[in-house]
Amino acid sequence: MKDRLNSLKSRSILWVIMSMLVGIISAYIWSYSGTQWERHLNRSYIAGIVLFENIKMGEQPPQQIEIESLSGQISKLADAGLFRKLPDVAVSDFITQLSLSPGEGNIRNKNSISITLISPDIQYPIANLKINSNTSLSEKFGDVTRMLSSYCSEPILYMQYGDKPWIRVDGNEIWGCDAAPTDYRIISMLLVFLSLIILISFISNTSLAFQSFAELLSKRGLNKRTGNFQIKGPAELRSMIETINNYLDIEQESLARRATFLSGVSHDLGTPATRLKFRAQTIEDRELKERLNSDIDQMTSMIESVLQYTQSEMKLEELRQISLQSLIEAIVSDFQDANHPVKFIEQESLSVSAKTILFNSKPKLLKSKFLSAKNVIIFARPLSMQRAIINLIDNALKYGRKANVSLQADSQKASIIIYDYGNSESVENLTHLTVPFKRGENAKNIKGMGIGLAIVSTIAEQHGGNLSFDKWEQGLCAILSIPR
Amino acid sequence: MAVPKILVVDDDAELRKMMAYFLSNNGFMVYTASTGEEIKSHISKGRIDLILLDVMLGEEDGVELCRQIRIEQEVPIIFVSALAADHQRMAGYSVGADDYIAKPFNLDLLLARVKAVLRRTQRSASLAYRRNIYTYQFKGWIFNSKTSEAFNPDNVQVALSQLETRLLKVFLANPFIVLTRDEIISAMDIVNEGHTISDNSGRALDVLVGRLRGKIEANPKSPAILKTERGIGYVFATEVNREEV
Repeated sequence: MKDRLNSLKSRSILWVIMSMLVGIISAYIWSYSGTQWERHLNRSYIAGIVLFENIKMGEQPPQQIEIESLSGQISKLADAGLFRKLPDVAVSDFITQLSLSPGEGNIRNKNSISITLISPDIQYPIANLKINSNTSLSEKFGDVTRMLSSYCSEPILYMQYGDKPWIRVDGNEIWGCDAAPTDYRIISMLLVFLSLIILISFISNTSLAFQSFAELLSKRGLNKRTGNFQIKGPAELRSMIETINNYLDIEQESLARRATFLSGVSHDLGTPATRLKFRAQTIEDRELKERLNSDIDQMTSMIESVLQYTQSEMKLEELRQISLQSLIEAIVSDFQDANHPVKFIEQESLSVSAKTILFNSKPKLLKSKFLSAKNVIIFARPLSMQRAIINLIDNALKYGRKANVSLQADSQKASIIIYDYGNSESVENLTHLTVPFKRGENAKNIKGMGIGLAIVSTIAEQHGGNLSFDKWEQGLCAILSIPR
Repeated sequence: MAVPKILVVDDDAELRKMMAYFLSNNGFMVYTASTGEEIKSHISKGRIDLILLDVMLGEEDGVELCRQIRIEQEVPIIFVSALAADHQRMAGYSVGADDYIAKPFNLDLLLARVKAVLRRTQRSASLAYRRNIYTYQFKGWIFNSKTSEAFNPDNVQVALSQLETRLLKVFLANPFIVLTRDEIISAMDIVNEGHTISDNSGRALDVLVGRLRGKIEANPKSPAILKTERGIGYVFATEVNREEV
């Protein structure tokens, strides 16, 4: 059940439904809020019309509006237009004045009305008010109250209709800030954005699961363990990982079976071959004895190299941090101790020359970089690496006269370069030799199976690196590159 | 010394016979066995100086037999096997084998290896490292003598050549003891193995010491671990902790 919920299909259905729900909810909130607002404005508009008619007729105003006639001193101040001096007007209050008259033009006549708006918060943009000149004065006044209600403030109106006395109008219960409905439109926008963000992060999470698995898969050579990836993510990915794990298990099993089989063959051949050696011992003819011995050796070295190839494919070793320089030095020393012409050439200045670096004004800094490159540390399987380097040196000795080994490194990769002297193979031929069981043209008289390079190439691939060949002045060189 | 007694263990009857014949012709007393049971009965009967053990004994596993023998016996064991890949050699050494010969072998090589191992066991001084069962710690370094793997204080594996390994083992077995060049060379057991190091009176050894210093010393020019004792030889001048694996 949990799996089914976790599948891409159900996930996407869930997402679609969720985002639809969120969309509907926010649309509803939006329109609800809009309607509320429209109602609020209309209410103020109507209240304005009614209020105006009431004032005109000298009737009682609507219930929620308080009207107070100004008297005496205060009325005189209003008459003189000195609203700033009115007792309930603070110094910081904004004063907006306008007058409305029926018909076109705003020539003051006895039917026109003067309005003074006192607000602690804003000066009303009267100029923006689009007042239709064809409408009646009451409708014009309705437009003003409608405009008042669209701002969040608590204005006090002083009005004078024609020659009637000034009145003070407080209609904040209708057009004041508190009377306005809460605007939910921002909330509904936020809701939409939030759900979008959640949706995007869900989607990118899911695609990330696939992507990171693909990355893991491509780096399998550097995996610590042989197969098995962790099973996680959506159901489709899970089943994919499971299938790949199964496949890897089967592959590993078949490799193991092949290795066991070859071990058996190798062992079974080893015993009669040893017997042959003992029998050869009794042969008087020295030359014949030696030839027989070398035949037996050649036979068995073939078997051994097949076995080694199989084992190199199986990745039996754990990865470890290893000092590459020490490994090469140790191998070269072993060759030297056995009197083979192998040399390790320490790279005084590494291949990264100063001119390839943009800012070469600080040669001292560069030098320290080179020195630290002396301790090239890689993540590798020590025995496999050792086998690869030994094979390359063996090859160089077999096909050339001697071998020089050098190590070059930059921040990305370490390259072990084995130079031979006098190898007449072409680079293309050698590259072909990285396929198992191929041998070069000049190999007829030299023992070996041509499997050595295939082993090196397999080991290089298992470390995420590669094996390539190149020409140099006195022969060929093999380059084993390993990422750092 | 009495005639060395060698137990040849192989499941191939004819090969057993041939090896027995060959070795007895070369001055050894030879017994043969083809199963674990037979090995045990031979060992219980009397002294055996060396066992030549096949890794695949029909149903039985030579590596496992070696492990069992090692629990009770210090007798040197040479694996003789057609399974000669690196991992199998490692497996052999890790259960306490003294040497590993790949089948088919040249008879001269067999003889040389047998003699070398016998010579080594006769010297009690080299017993300390012959068994290969210790982990040594010095100055932040860890050296596993079972697998001959060395790790520096940053836990990075540092590879040593075969001679460097032997040299280090000699020093680790004798910390703070000044060793002469002759003593070191003799303890390294490289006489008669064709290494140039035993030829010219210590010059090659100095080179080897220099190589080892290059790997284990922080500053090889003024060594803090492997010090020169002027006019005498070398001394491993640091605390060595030894732990049985």
